[in-house]
Amino acid sequence: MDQVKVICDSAADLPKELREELGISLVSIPCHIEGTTYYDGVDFFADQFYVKLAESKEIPFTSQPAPMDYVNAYQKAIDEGAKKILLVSLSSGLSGSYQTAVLASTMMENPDVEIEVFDTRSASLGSGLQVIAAAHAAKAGKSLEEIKGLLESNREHTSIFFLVDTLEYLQKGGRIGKASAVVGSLLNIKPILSVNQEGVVFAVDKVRGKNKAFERLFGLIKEQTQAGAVSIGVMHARNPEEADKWVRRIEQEFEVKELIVTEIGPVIGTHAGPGTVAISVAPYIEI
Amino acid sequence: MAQREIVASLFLQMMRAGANNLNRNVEMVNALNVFPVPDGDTGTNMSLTITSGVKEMEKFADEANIGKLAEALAKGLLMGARGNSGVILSQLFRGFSKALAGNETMSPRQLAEAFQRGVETAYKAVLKPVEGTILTVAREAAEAGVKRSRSTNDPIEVLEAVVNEAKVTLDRTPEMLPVLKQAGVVDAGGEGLLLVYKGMLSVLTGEVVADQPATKEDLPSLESLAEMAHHDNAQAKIDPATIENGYCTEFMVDLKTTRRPVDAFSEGDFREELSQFGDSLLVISDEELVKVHIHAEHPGDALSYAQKYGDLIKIKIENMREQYATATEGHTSSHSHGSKVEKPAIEVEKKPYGIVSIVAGSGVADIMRSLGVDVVIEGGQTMNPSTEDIVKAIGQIHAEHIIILPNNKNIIWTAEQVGEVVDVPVTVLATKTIPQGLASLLAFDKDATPEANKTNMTSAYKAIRSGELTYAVRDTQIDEHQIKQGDYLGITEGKIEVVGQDLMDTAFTLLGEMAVDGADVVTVIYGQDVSSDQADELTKRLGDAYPDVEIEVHDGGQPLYYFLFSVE
Repeated sequence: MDQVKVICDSAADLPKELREELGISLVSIPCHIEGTTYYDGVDFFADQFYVKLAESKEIPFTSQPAPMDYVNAYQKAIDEGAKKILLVSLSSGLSGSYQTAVLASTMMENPDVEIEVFDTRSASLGSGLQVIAAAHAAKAGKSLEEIKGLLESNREHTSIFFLVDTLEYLQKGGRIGKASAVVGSLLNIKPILSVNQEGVVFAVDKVRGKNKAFERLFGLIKEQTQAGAVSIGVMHARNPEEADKWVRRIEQEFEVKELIVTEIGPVIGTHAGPGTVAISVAPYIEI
Repeated sequence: MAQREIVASLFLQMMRAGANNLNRNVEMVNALNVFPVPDGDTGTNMSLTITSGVKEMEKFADEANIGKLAEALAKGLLMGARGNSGVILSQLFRGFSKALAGNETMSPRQLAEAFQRGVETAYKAVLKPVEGTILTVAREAAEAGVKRSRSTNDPIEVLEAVVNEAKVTLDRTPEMLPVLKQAGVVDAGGEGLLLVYKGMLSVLTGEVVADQPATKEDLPSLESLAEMAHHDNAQAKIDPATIENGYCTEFMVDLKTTRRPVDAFSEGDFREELSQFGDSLLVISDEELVKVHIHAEHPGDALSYAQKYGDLIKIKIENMREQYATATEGHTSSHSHGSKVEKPAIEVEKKPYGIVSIVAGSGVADIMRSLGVDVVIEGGQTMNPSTEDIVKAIGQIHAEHIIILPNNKNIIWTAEQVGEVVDVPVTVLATKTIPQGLASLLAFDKDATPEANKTNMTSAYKAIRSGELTYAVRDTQIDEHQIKQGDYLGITEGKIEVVGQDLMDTAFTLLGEMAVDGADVVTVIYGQDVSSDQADELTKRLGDAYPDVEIEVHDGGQPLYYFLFSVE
């Protein structure tokens, strides 16, 4: 049976080495900074991005990839011999890229090739963990149907929480949805943000003080995580010390089978802003 | 002796006299407040409450049915109730009036039973009745009245028994409540009630000429005080384009000024002269003080004029055009600025929740609004809003459910009465301080059920510690603290913890008592009498002493309270 080819977008924030090791292809989501377009994960990485972000007078913005970008990615996979392709996408609630990926799949005129687009309803490593699960399953020879089923049940139990230093970036990027209740508040409130099942950012809770936010966040993770081994993604925007603290804490609380720590890339970084730390927890899938 | 019935007109006179007698002695009752802090004006609250009741009765002055008249009294009291003693007073007379329902006249026996019914109603309304308060005075007095009514047909004797027992019980209140004994006072609410009862009796005994509409002198002055209290609330209904006199100006003139020669004062002339400077003029005076309220375009002219008669104190000037803009922000976004405020022509969909919060200080109001409060009622420390004020505020909100944050222990009961009057479901959270109100708002979720919101918001405000810093209005002793007038008082959770002569030291010590060490966030809200430099100074001191604590500072602009603290 043909091995399923897994493709992800750059909003999954997967480290390049890991992606290449697992044979995952990439569709880059473009990031625009002061009139110049950069291709996230291709020729533009976190290091460069945060320098530009600090220097830029305007807040950068992102755009969804063009249908052609997806078509090219599918075609490249097909040229390399793939018959089954799974594109694991950033949440459709946050971006139109999912729609574009679906549209592009209908543009492929190759009856022998089956293309599926999967909506992770999450972002950053919340999507990334799902991409990795798909890649592992593909390597193990699972069928496209099986992998889809696996991802669907996994998605329900994948949580993502993040703490931002300021709501400014989310607000300017228009990605705040239900979290808007705390925008404009004169008190310095630390909302604990998450992405809901529709893939929209919302404030799970509002607390004051960094310590309390940290404690509440881990309380929420414990509430929402099923018993058993877990895969963990910890991501940060220029905040490695805090990310370390989160890793130490999560390793105390859970049986961590898989751990990815990475810097939040340009796409998500544009909307979350420097200082952000996030965590995604998913059940570890033994394949 | 033939049984003497009290007819409706006599009852009206009795209540007028009762209200007048209390109104004349407001300051005396205020002075009995146990805590020497500049708030909780029991006398003012009770006076405004009963005045509202009598005012409602006056609308039915020709009514011959005493039951109807009593019903009007009860309604007016309910709407005007403010402060805890005011609420109890309103409940006492609500029960009283229920006992008279359907009656033409009132027999001495019915008079006694009505007092008794009032006591029962009030006890039911109060969740945890405390003995040694107005409740005890009312209960013992009513019992004495009932006893006396069994052996007499004379309402005078019944009411005399009530008054005498009220006096005896009042004198015993310090024995029942240690705080009263320590402060060396009788219960203020009980004193207020006795004054009302005495006034009522004076009509029966003829001390007050029965057919004289005695209210003209005293009632208007209190009404005008109430008008002042209503003032901020009324803003929302004013069209800013039609405001001719843009500054709401309030001040007092000290007629006893001796450091310089002053002109002789005549209230009539003063009022007439002053009227040239603006409108909405109110002048109240006694031998020592004149209280003035005026909307003027040039407040300075009015002040200069008034200064001829004495030194000016407690000056408060507010720009009403600006106030209007603030007051209507957030809940009239569909209205264009400067145009006439109208009800939206299209019935807009009700939002799930409307939140009303009672606060003092424009900065505090801003913070409240930023956290989702729909209507802020200015009030709190010095002027407790009435039931009606809160009802009016709710009238501005188009919501399925109302949440009220009283943010003051003397407003909680008033807020709870609101539910009886409005036809939207109301949840009152028993927030006793501004910081508690703010904390509760963080837990509010518009998508949650009212029950869930009540639970979550309650546990949120209970999780923080709040503190206040004010000054002593008189000498007294509270617990182990010897307090001198003018001392700074650090209060946490309603208890005076720190007394000091230096503002910053007292504030710093209070925060230490509030267990800042180990806390996550300390919020400092500084009042109108504190400069931002002073606030910075305190913040720096806190930061040096507790480097791990996040400190947040806001300009609250609240009067009387130098600092409000929340530690969480």
